[in-house]
Amino acid sequence: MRVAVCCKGVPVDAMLESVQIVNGDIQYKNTDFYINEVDAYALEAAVALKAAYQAETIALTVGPLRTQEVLYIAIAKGIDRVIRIDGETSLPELIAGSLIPPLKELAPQLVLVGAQSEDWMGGEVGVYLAQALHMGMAFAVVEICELNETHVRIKKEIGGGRKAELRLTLPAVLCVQTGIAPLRYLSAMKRQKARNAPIKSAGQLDSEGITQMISGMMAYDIKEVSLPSKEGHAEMITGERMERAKKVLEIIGNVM
Amino acid sequence: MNSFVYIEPSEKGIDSLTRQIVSGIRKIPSALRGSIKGISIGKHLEGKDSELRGVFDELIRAEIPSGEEYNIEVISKILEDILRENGPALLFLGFTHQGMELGPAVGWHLGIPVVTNCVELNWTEGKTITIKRPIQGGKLILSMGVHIEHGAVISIQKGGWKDETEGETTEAPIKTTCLPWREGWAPDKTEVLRIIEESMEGEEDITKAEILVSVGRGLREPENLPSMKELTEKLGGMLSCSRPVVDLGWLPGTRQVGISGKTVAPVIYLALGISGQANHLVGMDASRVIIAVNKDPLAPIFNVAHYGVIDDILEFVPELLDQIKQQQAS
Repeated sequence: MRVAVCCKGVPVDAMLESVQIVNGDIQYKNTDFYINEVDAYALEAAVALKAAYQAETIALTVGPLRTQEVLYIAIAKGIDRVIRIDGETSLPELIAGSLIPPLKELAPQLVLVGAQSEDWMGGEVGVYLAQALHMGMAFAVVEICELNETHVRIKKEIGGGRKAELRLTLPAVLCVQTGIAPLRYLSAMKRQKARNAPIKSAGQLDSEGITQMISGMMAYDIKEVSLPSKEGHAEMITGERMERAKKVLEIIGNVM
Repeated sequence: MNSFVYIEPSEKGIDSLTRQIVSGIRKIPSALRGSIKGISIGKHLEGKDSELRGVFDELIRAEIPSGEEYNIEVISKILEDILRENGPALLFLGFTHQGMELGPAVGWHLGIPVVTNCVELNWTEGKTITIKRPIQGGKLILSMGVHIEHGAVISIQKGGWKDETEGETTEAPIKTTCLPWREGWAPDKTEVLRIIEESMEGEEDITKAEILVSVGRGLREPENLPSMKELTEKLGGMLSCSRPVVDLGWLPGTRQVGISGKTVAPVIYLALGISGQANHLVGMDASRVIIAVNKDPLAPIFNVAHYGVIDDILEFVPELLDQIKQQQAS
């Protein structure tokens, strides 16, 4: 049993000044990267499968050198091997396109991906991977109930507090939700030790090649990044804390 | 160009997001977007023709075996066929769990652009539309030019557009095309075993509350819950929360507001330490008065709240409690 888990480094609290549009893509300057929160849960789910089913686990990321910390976290959490595709992109089609060749080579039974990234906020990558690799798929997975050589049984959210229980034929892509497994604390010593682990390179992000291959999907241009419109912004209550608290209670009292 | 709208199964018939989507499409000149065709898969809209009239120009109803209404593999194949046979076309969906899974799957197979989480769309001429969507937790907005000569898949965030379909009705029957089940739609990778309804046994129903005190990541640790509960009691409300509080096991899932939890519309929604991710906002944006307290002045919750306070909830809530005590004493 082989389990691949895709993780993304996302910029720490990116402000407008740190965003730049480069060759039709969004990049971030002067900012650190940390692991996308839901991908950290995907890592935990992969490590749990390693413990329960003796699965071999491999983490992959697409990002520049400064996102390598994501893979050190993966190793520190107990992932067996890590792979980085070098390059910087925010576009989900290019991220998925870069992950497809190494995933084809690895031929895992399960691919775990966080359901959504904090920076792009779309949730496309896992779905694209499943279509491109002709795998079964489930989105917003909150529990992996059972895994055998041919199938995986899972529970996924379908909204409104309801869930669906599914059986998928392997291989399959699971886009996992936060909370699928508890996040474990990583000691500084474990993190430091992980930095000695080798990180395999799976080459460079080939933006042009991928764009040519899926040109129909890439028929869009990134035009501008801006701050949200002020229209609809809250009326801010200012003053000393005591005055603000009084004002909040007054508003509640007037409405009720 | 045809404009299709996928109508998600809902106990309410046509849900509010679908109505919002149709309202937004109607603002596009009809010469550009063509007629608006609803796609209903399964039996959930049977006998609800009166609701559909005046909302959609036409309806396509695809027949599927019972139990496959939540099989995304099946729905995806049906949507692909409809677009392939009626293209080039635009497919609009809600940015919901189903929409997040279906949109990219359909777009990938048809080789057309997929734009998710859209909050604004502008199409006045030609074959390029301008779309705005949030990035970076909603703190920034991205503008994209999408070339739609061959069609596109666009998912819309709830609240992105206003529902203006109310009262739009007509006596004329809606033209309906039935698509019989095709063997090619049968799933070969996915089996839906059961749908699990949330157990509310012994739990308060937060959808019934007039005042909701809702806590988020700003709570920092579960030891801070008692003061939030005390405030809730003093205000005569119920306690709810955003997703991280449930993920950390501090409150049960029955108290979660948002896309994965409950949709609420109380008179007062007091959001304490909630940043306001889109997945949370879709569950509470219909509240009558939203008051947000957050120490981050850029928190997206302030874009939907009516009133905002920039402060740390761990310092502001004790002050609220003090003020309540003083008011009660006087």
